[in-house]
Amino acid sequence: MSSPVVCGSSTGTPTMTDDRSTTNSATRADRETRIINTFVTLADTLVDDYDVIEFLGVLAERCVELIEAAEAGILLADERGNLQAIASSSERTRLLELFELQNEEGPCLDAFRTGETVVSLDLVNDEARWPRFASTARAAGFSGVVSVPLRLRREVIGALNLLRAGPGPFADSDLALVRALADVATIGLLQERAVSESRTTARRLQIALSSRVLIEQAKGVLAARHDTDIDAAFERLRGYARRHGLKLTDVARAVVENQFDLGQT
Amino acid sequence: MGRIERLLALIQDTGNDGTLSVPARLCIASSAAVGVDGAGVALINAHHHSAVAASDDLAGEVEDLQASLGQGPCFDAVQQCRAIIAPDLTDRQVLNRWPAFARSALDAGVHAVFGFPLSIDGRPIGALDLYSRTPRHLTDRHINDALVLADLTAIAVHDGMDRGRISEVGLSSSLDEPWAHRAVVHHATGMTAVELSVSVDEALLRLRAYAFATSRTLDEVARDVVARRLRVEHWNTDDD
Repeated sequence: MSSPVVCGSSTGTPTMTDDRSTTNSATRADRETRIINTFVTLADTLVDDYDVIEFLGVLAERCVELIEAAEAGILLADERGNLQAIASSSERTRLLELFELQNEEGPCLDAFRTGETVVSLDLVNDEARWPRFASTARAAGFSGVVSVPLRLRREVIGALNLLRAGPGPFADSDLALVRALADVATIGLLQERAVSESRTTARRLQIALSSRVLIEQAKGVLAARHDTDIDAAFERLRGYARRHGLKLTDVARAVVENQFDLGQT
Repeated sequence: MGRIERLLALIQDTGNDGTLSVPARLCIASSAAVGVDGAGVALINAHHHSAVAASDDLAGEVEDLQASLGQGPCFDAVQQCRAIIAPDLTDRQVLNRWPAFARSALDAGVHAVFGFPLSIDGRPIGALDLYSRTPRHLTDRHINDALVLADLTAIAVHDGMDRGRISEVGLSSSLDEPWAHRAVVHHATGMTAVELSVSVDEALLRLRAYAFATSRTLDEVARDVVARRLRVEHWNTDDD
């Protein structure tokens, strides 16, 4: 897995990129290469020792790179139709809360309900549409947002959410790419696992949601054990998983269910 | 089903007409859990008795008797900081211990009394009293149930009395699915599991119980735990 993109300053807002009108052919070729590499990586993840949280995490990180967004998140609907953030480009608590907020209002909820892509080029103009989400997102440094529904035939199972720091249009090619990545996310969520018996859609979603619960619980366990805050606890968890080539979900499960101690590192 | 889970389910099913305070509901649930006829809760401060709630008129009457006579299970429970078990008020030792209270209680129709201290930070602040119209022994299970309910009652009277609203939140069985919760609840669950040396399932139940006892939402309680403003205490409990 590639190392994560670190976006901009310590406040989390990214540095702005070049004006699109000056894109030259070298940059375009480079981007194409990166797009191709993304799909290859995702395809590899799909077949090889599959872990849904890792997969969606990679997808979210790549979204951020390719679309030059600040952050991305993937939300899934549980049995009751509540949207749960399953993976995101960063696990900062503040960002995750912004996704959770969209259970009640926001572009993801709209995308989920209508099955259509929802775009806001500047949240200043959408205060009336989503009062709480718009103000919270803007306070966190975001001004633009795209939410693409994750669709399986007629059913919408969640949404892919991109947040950007600067206002301005999203290029058509970017929107097309996001939709393609959303489709890949959906396929990844529902594909057959090589080893196990075939599972229903609901069961696969359940597994994804359960993995997310374990990861959040593990954050709490580590925070208490090492007397740190939640975000630092996640860094410890992810650092351990990466150093040892382990899946995040598996380490989280060991921490929560077997009182596994990650050691002093 | 673990003890706390079972007791939360019982509380949810009893006294839920929406008009009763949390201590009153705990009185009714305690009485049902232990299989006695009534229960009362009182705060005791320097031998001064202040009734908080009762499950019914008889329980209220017996609380009043303790208050006016200055003797009974609640005072002993606080003084000795332990459960007081009196399965038969006609027993000679009991009559010697509480000469006025035992006779008055018998006259009122009560034949057995049990007092469980309400403790906060190891300090007894009052008692949960249980009453039976007939002589009665309590099993270990009854006693352990009563100890947990007394802990919940202690939280309710100590941390929850200034809140206006009554909340079903902690009790709701629709919270059984873990993914129904926001991330902050899972964070608090993990932290509480470490602090109390229990499983995450048990930790979540304790957070729910605390939320019920203090009439707060689970989210509020969880946020306080994560911010280290609140530590859910270790309770008297071992599993069934």
